Amino acid sequence: MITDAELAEAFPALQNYTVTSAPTPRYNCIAWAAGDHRRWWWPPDSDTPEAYWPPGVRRDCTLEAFIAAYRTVGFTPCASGEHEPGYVKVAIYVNADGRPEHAARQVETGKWTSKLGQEMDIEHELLELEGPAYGRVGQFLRKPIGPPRLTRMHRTTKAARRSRRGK
Amino acid sequence: MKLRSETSRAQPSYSDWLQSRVLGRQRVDLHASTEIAFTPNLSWSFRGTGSSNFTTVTAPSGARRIDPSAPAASPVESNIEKLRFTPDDPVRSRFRELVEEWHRACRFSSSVTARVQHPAYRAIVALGRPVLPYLLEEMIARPNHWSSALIAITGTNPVPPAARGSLDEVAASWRSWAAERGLL
Repeated sequence: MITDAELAEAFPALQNYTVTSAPTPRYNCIAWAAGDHRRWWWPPDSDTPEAYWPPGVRRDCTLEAFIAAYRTVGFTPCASGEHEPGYVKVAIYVNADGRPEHAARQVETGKWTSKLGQEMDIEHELLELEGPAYGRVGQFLRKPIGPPRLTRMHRTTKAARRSRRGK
Repeated sequence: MKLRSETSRAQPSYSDWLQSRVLGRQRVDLHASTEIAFTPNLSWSFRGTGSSNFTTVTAPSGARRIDPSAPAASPVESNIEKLRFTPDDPVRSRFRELVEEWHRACRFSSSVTARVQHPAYRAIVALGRPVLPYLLEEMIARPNHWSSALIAITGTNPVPPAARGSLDEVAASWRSWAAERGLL
């Protein structure tokens, strides 16, 4: 079990946080921010089974590759982490070399939710996780909150239903 | 524990004996008071302290003694190999130390690259085949990023591409692989 001292050492600015899950290695911060709590997302060096990475996305540890990965689930770059009604936002933290280390997702209250490696989820202020472990926020992304978009199959089904009703 | 030679065949050293075993498809847990005798046909016998009779277990056709000096990347091919768990096994103790060190060092990291390249992780891989039963046990009991180590040690990857990133499915693949080879 992680101690407050260990948390404080890794995240010196972390003060106002709430633990929202038990520790688990089943998913990581990148997956959690994307809305996936079943897999560990990371660009793999090879065909290792350790990590999932969206098909077709560059498998390198660059901000561009991470932005492309989040595009596959509907996120696009935006200018800030200010809370915008109607949008969910993701912040990507990068280290001094500009390489992604962490991602957090904004919740309705304007606070952020993060999965800490193989440890627990917490709710926190955005800048509280900046520091030696995760670096600083280097990119914001957003996607509209709304009804799920209809897939081709759904559209076909609705069209068929309308057609049947017409007959 | 004493080793008793009953054959002119080259005998394994005590450390070899600790690290490897040929037990057919049986698991026999031995204690420090058990006396062991190897025989030429790769069978072996044992008896407990105070017992006058040896119980002999004969390895089935095709059995071979695991060679601890074999390269770590060599595949474990035989389904009759058994590696024994012993509370005082130095490999197990070292493995537990390294696992704890790895957990402490990588607990907040999402980078799979950093996790599998951490010195403690590489040290686990360097333990080679003797660590295999402990690694499988850990993977099945507490799924984590042990696949790279298992692949490096066994030379095989039983995880289907569709399971990538899902540690439960990855662990299930390794459980099946180990069960098919009688390693569980």
